[in-house]
Amino acid sequence: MKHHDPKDFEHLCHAVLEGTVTESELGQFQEHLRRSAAARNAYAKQMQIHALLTWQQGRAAVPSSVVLPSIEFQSSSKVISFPFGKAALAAAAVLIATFAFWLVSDRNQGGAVAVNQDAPVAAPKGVMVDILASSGAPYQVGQRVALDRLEMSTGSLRFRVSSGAVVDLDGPVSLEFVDPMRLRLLLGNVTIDVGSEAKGFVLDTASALLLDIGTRFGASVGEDGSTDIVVLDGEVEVYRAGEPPTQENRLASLYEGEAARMTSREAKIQRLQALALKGDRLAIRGLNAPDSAVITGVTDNITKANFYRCYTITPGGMGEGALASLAHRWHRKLCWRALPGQLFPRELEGADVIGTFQRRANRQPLADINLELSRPCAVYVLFDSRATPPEWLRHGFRDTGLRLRSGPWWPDLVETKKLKPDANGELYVVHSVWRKDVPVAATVTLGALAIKSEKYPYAMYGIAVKPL
Amino acid sequence: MDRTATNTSGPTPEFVQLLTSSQSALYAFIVSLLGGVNDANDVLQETNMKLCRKCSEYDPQQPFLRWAYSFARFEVLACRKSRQRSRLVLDDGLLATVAAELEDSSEETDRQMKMLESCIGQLNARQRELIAARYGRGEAVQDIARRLSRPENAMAALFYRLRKLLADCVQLLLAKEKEAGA
Repeated sequence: MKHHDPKDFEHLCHAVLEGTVTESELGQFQEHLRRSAAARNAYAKQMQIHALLTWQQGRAAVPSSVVLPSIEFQSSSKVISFPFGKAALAAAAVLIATFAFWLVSDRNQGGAVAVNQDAPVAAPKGVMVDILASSGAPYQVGQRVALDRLEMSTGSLRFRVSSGAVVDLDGPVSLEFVDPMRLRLLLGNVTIDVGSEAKGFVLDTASALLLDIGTRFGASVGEDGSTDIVVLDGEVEVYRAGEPPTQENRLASLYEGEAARMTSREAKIQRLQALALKGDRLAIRGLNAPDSAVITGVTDNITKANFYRCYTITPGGMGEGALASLAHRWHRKLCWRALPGQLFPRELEGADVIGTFQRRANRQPLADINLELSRPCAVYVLFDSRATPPEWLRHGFRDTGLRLRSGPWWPDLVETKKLKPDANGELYVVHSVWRKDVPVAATVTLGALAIKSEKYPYAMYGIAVKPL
Repeated sequence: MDRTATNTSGPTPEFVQLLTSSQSALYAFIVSLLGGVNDANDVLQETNMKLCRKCSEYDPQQPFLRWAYSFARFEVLACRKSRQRSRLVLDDGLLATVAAELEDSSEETDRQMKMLESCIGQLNARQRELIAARYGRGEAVQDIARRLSRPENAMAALFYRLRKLLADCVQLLLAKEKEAGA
C-alpha cells in the first residue's frame, strides 16, 4: 500500500477547501479519502469548521437567501439593516416570524390564507410557483402555490415560476400570471432572472412588451403607466405594448448596464439615467427614486440617440467588495477592494456608491456627471491613479492619500492593456481617492475624463457620497 | 382563495424551531458533501423548501438532523447533476461514504455553533486575528500570507491546524456538556 504523507494530505485538504486544487491534486486527495477513514474524518472536521466559521462570520449568504431577499425589517418610519455578522441570528428570527405569521393566518382561517386589504389575492387556477423567500407576505418558504394574480401592498416575495424564472418583488405590486412564460406587471417593481431555462420569457406592461432572451432584468410600472426597464445581465428586447414582438415593432435591444423608460401615451423609449440597487444583489428598489438619504439624482449631458447606459446608486453600500459597475464578464464583477494587505479605508465605508460605466473606446460620448445632493456631504471621486488628474479634479477636490482597487478586470480591454497581473494573476486598477466637501444641498458637476476624441486608456472614475 | 399544492397543515412552531436551530449544521453538512461553500447556499435553500413541504412526515421521536440530512444529501446530488459532474471533490462512492459517516456522528445542532464561539474565545489574539481576516473580512489565505510576509504553504498549514484545533475543542466541549447532562 502506498504511504500517504500527512503533510501532503493537509496541503491537499486545504487546497480543496480553498478551491485551488488542481486536477491531479484532486485525484491524490480522493485516493487519500478512499483508503483512510482517518483522512475522511480529518476532511469532515476541516470542512465542518470551515463551513461553521463561514456561517458564523456571516459570509454565507444563506441567511438572507433562505428567508429574505435582504435582511431588513421595515417599520413605518425606518429600515433596520442587520450587519453581516448578525445575519444568521436575524434570519432565524425572521424564519420563525415568517412561519409564525403563516401559522396564525392558517389557523385563524381554518386552513385558508386570510384575504384582506394587505394580503395577496390569488385565484385558484393559475401558474404554479414555488415560494423561495417571503417577508410580510402570507406565503411560507417552501410552499407551492397556484397564482393567476398577485396583489401586495407591502412586504417582499421571491418565487420560482414553473418555467424556471425566478421573480423578486416588493410591495406595492400588482402582477398577473398569464402562463409560466408570461407575466403582466400592472404596478410596482419586479426583478426577473430567467436563467438558461426560460429564454423567451415575456413581461407585459401597459406601455411595453419585454422579451427576455436569457438574462436578469428589473422592471417597474408607475401609477402613470410608464415602464422603467434595467438590464442587469444579458439582453432584453423592448416592443410596443399590445403588438406582436416582430422586428418592425422592436423599439430597442437593451444590454447589461442599460436602462430605459417607456411612456404609456407616446409609446416612446427614452434613456433612464440612474437607478438604485439593493446591496450587491442587483435587485432594484424604486427605479426612479433612489433610496438614498443624500443623492436625489444622477444625470449626465449625453444626448446621443440609442444610448442607454445608466448610473447605479447603492445606498450605504461602500465597503470591501462593493459593486463598482454593472459591467461584468461571466461571473466576474467589477468591485471596490482595499489594496493588498490593507484594510478598506474606514472613511469610505458605508458611503453611497455610484456605479459608473466605462467609455467604449472613442465612440462613446464624454460625460459631465451631475450629482443632485440633498444635504451637506463629502463627495469622493475614485480616480485611476495611472492617469493625470484633470483640472476640474485637481482644483475642486483634494487627494486624500487613500487608495483603492477596482477589479478584477478582464485582459482584452484598452484600459487593462498595460496592467500587470497581481500575484493571483488578477488585474486590478489602483484608484486615488479625491474628496470635496459640499456644505449645503447642491448639484455638483464632475467633469469628463479626457478631451473629446482623445485616446484614454484608463478606467472610468468611481463616485461615493457620504453625509457630513 | 389560495390553494397550496402540498400539505395545508404547515409546519408546527416546534418544527420551525428545529429547522431554524439546524441551519448551521445543515449548511456544514452540505458544504462537506459539496467540497466547498460554492452552491451551498442554493442547496440549503432547496433543502429547507423540501423539509417544509414534507414536515408532516417528520416523526418527532426521531433525531431531526438525521432526517433533514437525507433531504440535504438528495439536494446535493441534484446540484451535482446540474453541474454536469465537473470538478466534483467527492465522487459518488466517496460522497456516500462521507455522508453516512457524517450522519452517524452528528447529533448536535446549534450547540456546535455556541461551542465554536467559545473555542474561538480561547484562541490567542494572533490566531483570532487570522480567523477574522480569513472568515470575517474574507481575505484569501495567500493575501494574508503576503501581508504578513509568510510563505503561502506555511500559512495554509497554519489555517489547517487552526481549524483542527477548533474542531477538537468543539468536540471536547460537546462531550463535556453531554457528560455534565448525563
